[in-house]
Parts: sequence; structure tokens; C-alpha cells
Amino acid sequence: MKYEAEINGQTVHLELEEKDGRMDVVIAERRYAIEVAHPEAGVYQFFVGDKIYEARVVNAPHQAMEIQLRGQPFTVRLIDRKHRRAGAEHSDDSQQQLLAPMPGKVVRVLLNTGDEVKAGQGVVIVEAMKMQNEIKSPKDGHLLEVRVNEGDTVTGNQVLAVVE
Amino acid sequence: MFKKILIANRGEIAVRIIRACREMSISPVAVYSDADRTALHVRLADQAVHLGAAPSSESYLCGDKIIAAAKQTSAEAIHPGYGFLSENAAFAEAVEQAGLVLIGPPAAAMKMMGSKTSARRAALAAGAPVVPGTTAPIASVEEAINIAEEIGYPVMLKAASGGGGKGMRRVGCRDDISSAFTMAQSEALASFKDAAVYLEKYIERPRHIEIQLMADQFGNTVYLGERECSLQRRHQKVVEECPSPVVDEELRHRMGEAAVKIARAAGYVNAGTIEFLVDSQKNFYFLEMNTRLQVEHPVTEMVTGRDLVHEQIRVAAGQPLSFSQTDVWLRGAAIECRIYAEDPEHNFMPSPGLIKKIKTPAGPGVRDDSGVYEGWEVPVFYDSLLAKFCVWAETRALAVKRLARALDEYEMSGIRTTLPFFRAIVRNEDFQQGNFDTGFIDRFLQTQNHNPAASAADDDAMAAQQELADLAAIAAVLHSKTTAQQHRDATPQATESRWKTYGRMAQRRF
Repeated sequence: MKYEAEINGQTVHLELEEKDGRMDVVIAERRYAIEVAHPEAGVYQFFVGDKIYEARVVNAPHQAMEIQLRGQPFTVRLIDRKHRRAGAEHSDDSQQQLLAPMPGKVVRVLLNTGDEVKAGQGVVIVEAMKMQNEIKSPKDGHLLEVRVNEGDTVTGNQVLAVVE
Repeated sequence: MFKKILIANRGEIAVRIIRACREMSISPVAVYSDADRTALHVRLADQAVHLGAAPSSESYLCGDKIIAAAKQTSAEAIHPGYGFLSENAAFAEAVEQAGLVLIGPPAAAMKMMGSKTSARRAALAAGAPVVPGTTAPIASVEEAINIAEEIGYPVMLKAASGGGGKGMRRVGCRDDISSAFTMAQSEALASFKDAAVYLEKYIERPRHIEIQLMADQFGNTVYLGERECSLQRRHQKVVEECPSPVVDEELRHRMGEAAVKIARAAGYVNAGTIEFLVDSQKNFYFLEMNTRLQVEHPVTEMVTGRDLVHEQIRVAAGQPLSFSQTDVWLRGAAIECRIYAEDPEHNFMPSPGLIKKIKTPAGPGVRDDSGVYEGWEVPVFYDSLLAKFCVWAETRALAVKRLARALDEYEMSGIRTTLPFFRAIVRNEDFQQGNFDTGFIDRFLQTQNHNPAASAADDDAMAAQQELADLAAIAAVLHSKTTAQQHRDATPQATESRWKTYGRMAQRRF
């Protein structure tokens, strides 16, 4: 199987063959013969020759995975080739949603439906854990709608506003 | 000695105090809000009293409800921990009037040291060095300009009732002072309901070093070394250590003596901390006093071998200090990391939610003061501090190595935490050398190298780094396959036996 991954911002191609519990991997002409064990959820143990590595994988926002290996952090995102074209079209979409990054309470609504907005300008302030966080517009445009009011409780990933 | 103590707090500090109670054969009583019914501090207590709705204004900040809870459970004393009501003089008075003991300083000392301007006057009266500036709130921009010209720019405007960096403004020159004054006043009013601001000389690249004090009701006041607290983000401490890499025996003695004098002048009893700014020439200046136990107290405990919470309880019960100044000496070095539910990859955005997994480090010299557990859902209503993780070793250099080792063992998933941030800090050369000031974290975050491969020293190191990156990519592929398989397995019988799942996982090899 072939895979494409973005690791710490760089794209790599992997070719992965499994047989009899062993795995042969080729990444940019580097070849690995690996045995893998899965001792607990989110943990992958690699036997590479006589070397042992343990990769701890945690799901991160935006379909990324954060991986800790020998104390070092790696951020990896798998690129789905089938969906890439569709994804590209989607990002052309002129509408973008502002999502609540975490559950919390709307303490201020800075702009109203119809207002012009610049990229990086704050639209809504959400408070969680005694910290106030400004949710900013990802692009220049105007606010098609603002879906929350001051005092509202919001859940993580709830749509706060839509920018066009 | 008390038979029962009510802990007027939540999270890791409530757990810390409950542990001390257990060790002293005192029965701990917890209080909780709607959001904390199954919180760790409630689970560990003997009794627990429900206070009210989740927001702290309806629960942990309700002094009357807390005093009623103590009465109802026949607790003799209240430990306020830190935050919430711990520095509220009105609460301290109410506790006393209710015939209960507050495990903390007398209300009068709390009042005197609670306002920054009156604390500054007290420090001056005790002969302690203070940062040049005013002791009284400033009435007008003209007055601010006059004082600033006198002591020289840059200067710092600060809220008199402030803390946590709010209402603070650095002013570099005369042109900026007018707008800075107005903004500092409005921020101070919004945050502390008190617009009073004062002005101090701005110390360039200072270190923030504090002295731990312990005082009993018989006039014994002892200092327990210093803590280095220069590693701060937005004026909030993130890493603390004891001793400070720059404080020698002579400076420690001078700072300790100055701190003891200030505490005596304030009639201080129980645990307290005097914060100083130390400049590059090792001049120190009084900053403020914290009239409570501090978050970072464990590093002092590890290096002095004294249990500050036990001592607090003994002193509040009317016993003399169990040690004198000559009994206090520092052994080795300890470092603490504050593990917050925040996402360091996304500007430290709060990250409440379900903790799916926790694995704490073990082995020599580690201490984890945590308030959470696997399966607990971190609520959105409170401070994001999850745990304080500390290490101790014979020397600072060894403590840094031990910290790196232990942080690599520490796992927490489900929510985002500051653990990856600490793993990066502990690998920073300036941190390892003890070479930093209060601006370190901001500079570190700006220059942080997100591609470790680029920093590898030679070809072998480069190759090893490349192998790690490749294995990380492989792990990502395996993990996404496992997750996809789990989604398929999850239907329709979502609650399949874990043994069956395990059996299948063991069979499925990659």
C-alpha cells in the first residue's frame, strides 16, 4: 500500500508491505524491516533490528496526529489522495465557518451579521477555564451570519459565524 | 490538633491538602459544585458538601456557604488553598467570627499585604529594598510624568489591587505615558473594581525570585530558601525551581533576612511568600507578598525536606514551628512544571474535556500532585491547572536530566496539555544552563524550532533523526488503520467485550 503523509510540514511518500507479522517500508529510498506490536491503545512498539522504539499517538485537531517518539514531538497528517481533489474544490468555497475551538461561554460578540471583516479580526470572544479567547476571521469578507449571542453556552466545534 | 478540616477548594490543591490531612489523622471534608460531583478531591474526602451551581461565583467563592458547610460537618478549621477565597480578608474575618480557624494568616496581615501600595509601605518601613517609584496611587497623568522623570524611563504602571499581569503597562518614554495611564486605569477597574494604579521603575530582564516563609503564633519566623519563578507566560508562572541557579548562600541570607523583617512588620503568621525582582547585578527589590500557600510549594518541600501543609496545620492549631532557622538547609535541586489543559500548538487555547488516558512517570525523585484522573471530564468553569509535576535530584544538572526523562514517560490524552511544551523547554540549552529571565518564554516561543531534524549535530544524528521521523509517519499510518478498524468494529454492538477486542487486536498483526 502507498501512503502520503505530511510530517512537521514536509510531505513524504511511504510504501508499506505487510507479510507474516513483519512490515517492509520504503520511504524515499530508505528501507526498513520492522516488527510491530500494539501493547496498549495509542501505543505502537517498533522492533527495528535490535532497536526498540515506542510511538505514542494522540489525535490532534484538524485530522492531525501528534506523535511522541523518544521524547520528540512529530505532527503528522495523512493525505488522502482520493479525497484531495474534492478537498481542494471545497477550500475554494467562498464561505468559511468560524468554529468554537472548545466548549465555553460567549462573553462578547464583537461584530454583527452583515459587518465587514478583515482576516485576523476578532468576531466573537469565548471564555473557558477563566481565559478569554478571541475567535478571529480566517479571511477578508463580510459576515453572512453570526449565530451566537452574548451569554450563550457553546460546545466545541459549534459554528459561531459564517464569513463570505 | 484538629480532628476535622474543611478544604475550601478544588482540583490538585484540594487533593494535596486532603493527603496532608490523612497523614495527620485528620478527617478531610470536601466541598463541591455541580460540575465537581465526581472530582478527585470529592472522591478522596470523608465527607463532602454540595455548594451550588458550577460557576465559582455560585460555589467556591461563596464564603457563607463554605462556613455553613464547616458548621454542618463540625469541621474545626478551614484550609482555603490558593485562589478562590484564600486572600480574601473579609472571608478570613467571617471564619474567625464563626468560631472557626482559618489555616492562613490573620485577616489584618492579609489586608495589609493584600494591597500592593500598603505592602510596599510595609516593606519600606521594614528597611527592605523596593523598586524605585510611588507607594501611593497616582492621581493624574501630570503626577505620573513627574515621577517617571524623577526615576527615569522605562517605567511600569501597575494596578494597586492587581495580579496576574492585568492592569500592567510598560512605558518606554514620555509620549506613551498618557495613553498607558488611561488604559492601565480602565483595565484595573474592569479586573479588580479598583482603578488605582501606581508607578515603578521598570527593571530590564529581571529574574523573579521569591522567599518561602513560615511563621508561628509565638513570633518565630523562618525562611525556607528561595524559588526561581522567572519562567512565565503572560505573567503566569509555568516552571519553578528551588534553589535558584543564580542565588548563592550570601544573597539567600540577605533576601531571607529582608523577607523575615517584612513578615514580622506585618504581624504575619502561617505560610507566606515574599516575591522579589532580581536584576543582572543581583540587586533585589521587594515586589509583593502572597499571603497563602503557593502553587509551587512542592519544590521547596523537596529541597528542604519540610512539609509545608503539615506545618500550616500545626501552626493554625496553635503549635510552635517544628524547626528553627538553623534547622533549614537546602539539599539538591527540584523543578516543577505546571501541567495545564491548554494547547501549546494553538496559542495555549484552553482544552477542557474527557481525559482518555493518563500515565504518570515513576522511578526515583519524581512527584506528581494531580487533581484529575483517567475518565474525568475537565470542566470549563475553572482554572486549567491539572497537575504539578516535580522532580528532585542531587544537582540542578541531574534534575534537568531527570525532568526530561520523566516528561517523556508522562502521557495524557483526550485533551491537549502543556506537556509537549515542557519537553521542548527542557531540551533548550539556555534552560539547561539556568540562563534565563522573565522574558525567556516569550522569546522561546518566537524562536522555537519546529523541525528537530535541522538541529541535529552531525551525520549520525541526522540519520537517527530521519529514522525517528520515518517511524512517526509509519505510526500515523498504523494508528489511522487501527482507528478505522475500531469504527467498523463499533457497530452494531458498540459494547463488545474488551477481551474480545483485545483478542482480535492481538491476532491482527501489522
